[in-house]
Amino acid sequence: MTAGQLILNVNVLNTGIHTGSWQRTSEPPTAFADPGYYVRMAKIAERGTLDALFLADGPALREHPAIRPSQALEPSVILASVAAETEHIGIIGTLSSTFNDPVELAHRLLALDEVSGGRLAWNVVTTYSLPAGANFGLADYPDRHTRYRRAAEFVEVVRALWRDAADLGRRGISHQGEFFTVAGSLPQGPSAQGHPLLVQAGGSPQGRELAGRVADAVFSAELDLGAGIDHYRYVKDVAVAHGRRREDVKILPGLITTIGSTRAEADRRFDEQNVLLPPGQDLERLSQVLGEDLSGHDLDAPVPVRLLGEVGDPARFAASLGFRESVVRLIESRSLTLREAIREFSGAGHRVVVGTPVDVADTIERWFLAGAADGFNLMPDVFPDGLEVFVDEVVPLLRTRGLFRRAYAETTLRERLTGSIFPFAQLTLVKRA
Amino acid sequence: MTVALSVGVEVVGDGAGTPGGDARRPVRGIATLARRLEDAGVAYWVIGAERGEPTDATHATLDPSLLATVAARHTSTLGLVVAAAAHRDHPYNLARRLISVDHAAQGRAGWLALDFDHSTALNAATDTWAGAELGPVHTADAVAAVRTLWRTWPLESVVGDRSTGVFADTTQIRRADVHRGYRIAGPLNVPGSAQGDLPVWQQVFGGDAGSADGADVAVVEHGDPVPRGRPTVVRLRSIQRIGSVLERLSGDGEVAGVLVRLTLHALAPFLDGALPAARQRGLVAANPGGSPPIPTRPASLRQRLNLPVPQQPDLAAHALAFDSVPNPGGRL
Repeated sequence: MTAGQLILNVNVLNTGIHTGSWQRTSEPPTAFADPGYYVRMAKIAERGTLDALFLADGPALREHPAIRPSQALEPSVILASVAAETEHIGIIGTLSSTFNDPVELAHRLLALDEVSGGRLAWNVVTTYSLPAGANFGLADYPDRHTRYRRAAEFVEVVRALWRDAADLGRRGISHQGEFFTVAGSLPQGPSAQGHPLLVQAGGSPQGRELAGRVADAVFSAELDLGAGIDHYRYVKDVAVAHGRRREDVKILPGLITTIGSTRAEADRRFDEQNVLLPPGQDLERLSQVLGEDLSGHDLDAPVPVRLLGEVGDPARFAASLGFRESVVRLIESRSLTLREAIREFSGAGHRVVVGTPVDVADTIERWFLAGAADGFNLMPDVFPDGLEVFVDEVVPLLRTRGLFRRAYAETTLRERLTGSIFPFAQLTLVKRA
Repeated sequence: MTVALSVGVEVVGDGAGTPGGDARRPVRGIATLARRLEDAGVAYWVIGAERGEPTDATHATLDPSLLATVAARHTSTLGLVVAAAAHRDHPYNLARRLISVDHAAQGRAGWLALDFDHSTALNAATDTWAGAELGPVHTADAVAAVRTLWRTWPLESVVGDRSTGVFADTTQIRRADVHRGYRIAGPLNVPGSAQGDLPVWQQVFGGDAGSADGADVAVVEHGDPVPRGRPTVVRLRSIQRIGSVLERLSGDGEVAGVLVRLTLHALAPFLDGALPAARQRGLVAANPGGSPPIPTRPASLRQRLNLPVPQQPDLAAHALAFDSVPNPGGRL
């Protein structure tokens, strides 16, 4: 890793973040269920020397399948396919601490890290999804505090198993906690980078605490530069409070792009996509984030103040606190009407840029230099052309400005993201023969 | 009557250390091994079977579903059978991962359903999700749950109709509503397999064929009684005098194939010696990739092994997962 250089990941959200992406893509409708499709996207990203391919996930149907594809294939299988056919690009998978077993997941992810030659990061999420709960027989969905207590213990077990795997002594772990009792060792040794990196993606206070304490990177949702700077500092302060360096945790907000060679062309692309939205879907999305059905409200009146205050009971709030905070702050700072808020929120909580390659490069540079981001999780509107235009038109601009690499220099994702290698030589830790 | 036996292979260890591989790039070792098996006309590679056996579990170090995925991306006809237990894995996760491997392999994946995973058991003596005792009864529940999930979202329902804006025909998507052993609402969030369901292998101990009723293929150890009237493969743990063993099994009439466990050292003698010799004698099935090529190459593992898609579970009476297409809120 070189100081002053951006980190750019691509979030391959099936055929694109836009609901109508499946109607605009050059890929067939079944692409979302074909690991080969993800390999094709990874090869485009690797052509642009992007840092990593990121996958969102949850163990239930997220979107109504009449309307659009969801993330479907199990992420470790997608990432193993990508690892099998690429050389450099990092791979980041979202896997839930609520709907996995820590030993099984530690084993599988360390194997994936090994297979990829040390290119994996695990994005830890606690998952809020009632359908997922019903798929795992949960009579009562665990509240946020319970999920984060389980997540903290889950991560502790996984990390202990991974460190034990790198230890020549192989003493095994002995863990007894609220959720798990685990004794022993994984069957394998360490990967080329020791073990996978950790990414965190929740914007709640508990999520930011977990991120500052243990994560190598954070995938965040920011709509507003001021809020972006505040959250950036907050997480880095937590890291310092836990004895880490500020640069040990990278902050990577999502960035949705709709790119045209002129602004008029970009606007046209944006409008053509939005014609495909099912009626009312955008309002429903905003309703979900604010935790109230907005369908009866006047679209041209300001968003009611009572929807914007503190959440009464955060533990019971049935949606993402991070997304909500991001939206509320934007509405308050610009006194938006409901109609305006819906347009700003068209990216479901992530910032949307509609413009030319120069516009996109400018906003990336501005946020990076302002101390709001160490890089971005890119979310093209439609794959593959939304990614291709970024790689072919935006990446060269960022290279010319000295902000982004021209070639891959590091072998492992750990070296690329953190600038350091795993301390195999310390204590009894030894590299696998 | 002589039956041309199907040949499956289990390779001790992960395959990452295959000669010709590269320790720093495990993908190459796995791909090399998979292509070697494919070129020799092996019908399928069973990955990770040792996990089910306490004495051999230490040989298996990498997750079988990931090895199968890597192999899938570097082969075109080899079947890839993933060994996995509903031990620390919930059936929803198992169903999803296995069918994802099948999509990576374009209909060439299968599942060897184990009762126990000794590689990752650590101290867990029971199923870590339901707390159930591990054994054939629990495995049968898990197989039934996984099969049900595989059928909840048929691949054909993905129509992607741009003229109507309909992505998938939700009248074909049904709830799983599993209640035996687990409570699983469904549907699975991955569309179904191109080969119907993935074929399932399950070991039968002591001739108790009923314990693997939910499987497509029963596995028995060489020398154990062979169940009658159902597809059965015999596991051979040695290639000594394998020619005469294959001759006897091919004349048995009830044995559909063999599952040969090989160390890396035994690979060459078997693949280059015993297997072609047996094929020449008509004891084992032809090599679809051999010369001359077979004109109609089977597309899926199920087709290659002539395994019909089971009639059960039939989800026709299950509730639809989606009542209607949503249209909430107002139009802008």
